Amino acid sequence: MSPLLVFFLSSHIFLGIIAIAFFFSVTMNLLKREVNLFSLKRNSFGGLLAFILSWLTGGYYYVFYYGDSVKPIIKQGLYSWAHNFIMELKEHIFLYLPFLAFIVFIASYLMQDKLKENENLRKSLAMLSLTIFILGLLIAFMGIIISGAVKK
Amino acid sequence: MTKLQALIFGAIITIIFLTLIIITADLYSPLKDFLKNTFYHHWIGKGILGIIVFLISSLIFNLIPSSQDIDNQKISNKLLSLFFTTILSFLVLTLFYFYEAFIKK
Amino acid sequence: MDFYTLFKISHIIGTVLGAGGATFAEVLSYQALKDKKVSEEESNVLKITFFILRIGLFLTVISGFGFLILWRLGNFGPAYFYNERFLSKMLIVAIIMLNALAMQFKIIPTSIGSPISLISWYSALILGSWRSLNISFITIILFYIVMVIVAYYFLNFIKNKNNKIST
Repeated sequence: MSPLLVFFLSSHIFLGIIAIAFFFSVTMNLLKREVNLFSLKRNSFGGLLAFILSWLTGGYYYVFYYGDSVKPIIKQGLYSWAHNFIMELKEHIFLYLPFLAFIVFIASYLMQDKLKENENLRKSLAMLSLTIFILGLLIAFMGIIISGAVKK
Repeated sequence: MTKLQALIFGAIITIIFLTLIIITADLYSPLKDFLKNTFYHHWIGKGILGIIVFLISSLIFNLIPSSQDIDNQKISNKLLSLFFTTILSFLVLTLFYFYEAFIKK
Repeated sequence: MDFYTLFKISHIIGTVLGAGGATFAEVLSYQALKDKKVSEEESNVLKITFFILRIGLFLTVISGFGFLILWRLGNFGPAYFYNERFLSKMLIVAIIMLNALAMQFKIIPTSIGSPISLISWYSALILGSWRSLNISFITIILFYIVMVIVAYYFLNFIKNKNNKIST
């Protein structure tokens, strides 16, 4: 693997974890009695940015390396389901996340004080942020399973 | 419709669109080939089309005339609709790929 | 310093902060609740403890994924990634995060969330250090569940004892 691909794969993983951590923090913040608007806006923006960058770096690795060099190894091995089921699901669920993250970010910016006043609104946004966190966590675990199936 | 409502509706349409195009491209190879030929890779194609659908549907919903006052309850309901759409789409994709990988001969 | 050493040091620091934070969160909250109300000062100390605990969690997870990248680049394969001790540890780390959210969502009360947090952190620490441990995933998780139940009754016992002393 070239140094550029190692950089993209590592960035994809670290940025994904950072994005998940941001949405963990956003969810926790929204469930507090006193929501911290500054931290909410900062973390939802950080999470969105990290997801987009993770999308781009992971996408580069997936499009230009995974298909030709990793997929055949997994498919020929004992754990072909790691590609046929896990990778197929992972690469496609990943497409949802930036859109969901954008909505949480934009709602944090546009709603501001309304979020402080209205508990229902906070809870609905928290549910969406929680979904991003849980899907992100699942994707991370799927990544571990896929990596485990690669043995030359 | 307020900007936020239009964007949430746009996201709902995009999640449904992505789920449909992902499944259709897997079942109908000419669509997958079209995505590959047009966007270099089917995954890039799905991503770009997702962004286009999101922008266009949000713009269309934004043009629907209604009160510009932010109604907390309406926004809250739409956020929950997006939440349920995502969960349902995720389950559909999981079942689809489970079928494709383990059941289909 | 090579990446392996950097990740190892961060992983150890993260686990120490996490397990230490979870322990101190327990001790301090029982201390604070002795007089049945949490003062502003006690609340601030607890907030700092939880903040440190979360830093520990972040460091543990990010350095843990650092190790995984090194494993992936070395093509270590199923022997490492599908190791039952490793998979149990991964599940327990996920439980730590989901438990924190469930407590915040008030899905589970503190009396259940606290022992889960405490036992999860120590389990992750033990599983990470005990390299020669060679038992199945199911056995590890069953043992973990039993320990959570024991911790629940133990913490409740201390809490009741505290209440009797204060009344």
